[in-house]
Amino acid sequence: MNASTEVACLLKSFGNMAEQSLVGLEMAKADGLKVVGIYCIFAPVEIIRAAGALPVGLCGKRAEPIAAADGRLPPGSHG
Amino acid sequence: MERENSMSQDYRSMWETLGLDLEAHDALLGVLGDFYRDIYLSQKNRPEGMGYFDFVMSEVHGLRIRELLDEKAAGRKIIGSYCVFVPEEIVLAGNATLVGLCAGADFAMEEVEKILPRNTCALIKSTFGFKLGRVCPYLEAADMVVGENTCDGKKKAYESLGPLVSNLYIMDIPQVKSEKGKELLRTEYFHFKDAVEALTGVTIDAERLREGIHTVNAKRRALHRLAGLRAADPAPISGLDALLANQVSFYDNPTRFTDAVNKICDELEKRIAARQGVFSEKTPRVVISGCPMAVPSWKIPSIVETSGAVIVGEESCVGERGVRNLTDGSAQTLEALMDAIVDRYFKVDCAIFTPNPDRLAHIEEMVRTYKADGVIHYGLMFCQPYLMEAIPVERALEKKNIPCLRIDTDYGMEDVGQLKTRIEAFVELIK
Repeated sequence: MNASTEVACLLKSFGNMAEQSLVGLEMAKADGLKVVGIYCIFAPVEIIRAAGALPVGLCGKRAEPIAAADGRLPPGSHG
Repeated sequence: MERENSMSQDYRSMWETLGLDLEAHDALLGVLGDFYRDIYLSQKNRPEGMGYFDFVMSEVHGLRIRELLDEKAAGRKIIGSYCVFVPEEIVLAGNATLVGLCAGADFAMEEVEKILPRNTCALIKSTFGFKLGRVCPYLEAADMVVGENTCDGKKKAYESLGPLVSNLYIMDIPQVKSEKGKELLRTEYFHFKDAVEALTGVTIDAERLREGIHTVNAKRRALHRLAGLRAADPAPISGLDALLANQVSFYDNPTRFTDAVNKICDELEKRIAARQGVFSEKTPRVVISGCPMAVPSWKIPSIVETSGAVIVGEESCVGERGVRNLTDGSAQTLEALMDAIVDRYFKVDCAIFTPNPDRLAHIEEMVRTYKADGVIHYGLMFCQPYLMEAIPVERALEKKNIPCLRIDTDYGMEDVGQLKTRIEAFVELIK
């Protein structure tokens, strides 16, 4: 395997990262691990991991779910 | 208003010395004068005592500035503030005068939007407009300008205001009502006391602080008295006029102001006894809740009171949120009096606090006390704390069968027609 094929192979494994992570999450929970959702880099992942739990960055990156928030949040808050 | 008189040569040279842009300032006073005449002087059945406030407003950039400059010439310092978290008790104890700085109208917006993002609330933009346009004599006369870290918008904007003024003092404010939060406020108020002492050269002792507390409490008590009289039906004073009294409380000499408000209250008591009001009995009654209304943001109250309703209370920093709590002045030591000041200000239920349940409780209490038929929530566009809180507040009020109209607006006049339609429909609903 030359270097560029190796890189392409590695990159491919990131392609469906979201799905992979979900599977990983299910497995971790099945193993009895606690999952800690975080919204900000101020949540110290060192402490979460040190306690044997799994830190997970929560969704806030996609536009599709925004419509469901209308009526609960002022319209200007995602403008 | 006798604008021409205010614009005497004497004032012009005073404004020039302060570095104001005379042409822009003339334009501002012209607009303000017209606005005041159309909204205030056109009202019917006003209490005679409002004459004092008409005079204060006609001289708001004239005689009052002259007084402040005379105080400065006599060695007194002037401290400018943008928020009710700046404790006037400490300022007065340091032999200084506290004034609220201009932030109620759009000015020099093109210049402002070079420094601030367009989607910044009108109050913050206005603060910058008055500075960049050089039209706020209070700001130019101030020996210290206090910027407080309340909302994100203000705390970041002060970073940009700093280079525009020579004397910005930043005060941190907690966001959570915990013991740690209170400790932060305490530390900040002690720093502020030190800064006032450094500015004035006065050592603040228990006696001075007690005197400051006494003066500010008297002002608050007068405003409580005024608020209480508005529970009567027919309402003895318009919401516009009561708002004006609250607005002037930020500029005026506190003792003179207290006397003027008490005098109006004497008159209102007679009106109530004679069952006289500004509007007829059974006029629909509204409490306004939300963002502060600084001079001259009279748009919403003016629409409400020309749409068949009367405003009977303001749940606002320019209103009850700002003045409802007194400071306990009974302690003997400086330390204990400072703690009483911290206790008092820590109760202010500003939406920067999370969570902030006291505010909702206060709105409901005001609806009961002033026998209101509904609440109009006034939010400035892009003011995240109040706009965010508005939605759960509206839901909670509606659960208790208190009708609520949620308005998001700014200082512009473009939405007046639409607002009038919505407010008229709301008044119909609460009749």
